[in-house]
Amino acid sequence: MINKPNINRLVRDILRRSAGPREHNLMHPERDWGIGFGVALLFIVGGVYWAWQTHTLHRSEATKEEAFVPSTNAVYQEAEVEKALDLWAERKARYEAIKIELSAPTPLPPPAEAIITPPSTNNEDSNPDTPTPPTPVEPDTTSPNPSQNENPPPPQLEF
Amino acid sequence: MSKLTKHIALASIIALVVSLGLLFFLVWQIERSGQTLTTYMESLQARNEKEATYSRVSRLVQDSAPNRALLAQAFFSDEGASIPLLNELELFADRSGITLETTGLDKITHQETNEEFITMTFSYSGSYEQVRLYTEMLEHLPYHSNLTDLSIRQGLGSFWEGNATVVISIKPSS
Repeated sequence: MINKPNINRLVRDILRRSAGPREHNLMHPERDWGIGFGVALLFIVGGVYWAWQTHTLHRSEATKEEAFVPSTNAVYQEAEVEKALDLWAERKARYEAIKIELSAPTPLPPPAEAIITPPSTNNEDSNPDTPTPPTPVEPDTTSPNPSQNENPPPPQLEF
Repeated sequence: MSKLTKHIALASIIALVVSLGLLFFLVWQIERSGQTLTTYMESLQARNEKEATYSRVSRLVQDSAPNRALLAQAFFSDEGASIPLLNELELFADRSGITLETTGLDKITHQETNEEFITMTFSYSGSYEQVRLYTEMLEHLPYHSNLTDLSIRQGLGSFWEGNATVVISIKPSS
């Protein structure tokens, strides 16, 4: 229970504190050095942390660089080359086959297909690029359509 | 304030200034080193890229050498390369009983693409089958070629005459 002496003591304590610090010497070298060392330590710790972060960042970039894949791709159209080679091989084979075929002796045409009348000069001059079909010796009278024998179809030139 | 206190305060300020200066100097050094490192890394990356591209292209060149050699055979190396082909065609026509005459041999250059070609014009005669096969042979010359002009007509008797112009590409110089 609070009695009067206690209240008086509390009041005295409060009044004594409100009078200000008992020690009026503002300089505290130990405290100031402590604060200075603390600030310096904070700077050092912060610098170490920043340096470590920077080191980690660049080390990660260096690690990524090892798995570098070049973006410049040399263009080589292999499919087109293969297709061209196939066409060329086919063409060469055809060339050799024609040479063999041309070297073989050609059989003489049967007499029925012999040409008896050379094409007229006027006809050649009028259209020299168009080959004139050969004219048969004797028209086939047994054919049901004699008009076709008079004008046979031109030979099929498979060039 | 006592004299010792002033000295300590001055020493503290000097130490703080030196510490801050040293700190900023180190920060500046680290920053500069970081920029140098970045430059080195970019140079290293560019070099690695060039090396990778070089090795890739080198491997591609080695792998495609046979195919490229085959393709090169389909082109004339120069104008003089047409002579062996002309000799072969004339010799083969002679052996096959075909009368062959080379009526034209010229080198032309495409004005827009600067591509060069050899044009050869032949006039040949023989039987119908011989002329047909010889024309087909000219069409299938084992070169990068095509027939640009062709005319066939019947001559006297069973002889046929053909005129053909063959254009063969000259290998472009790289």
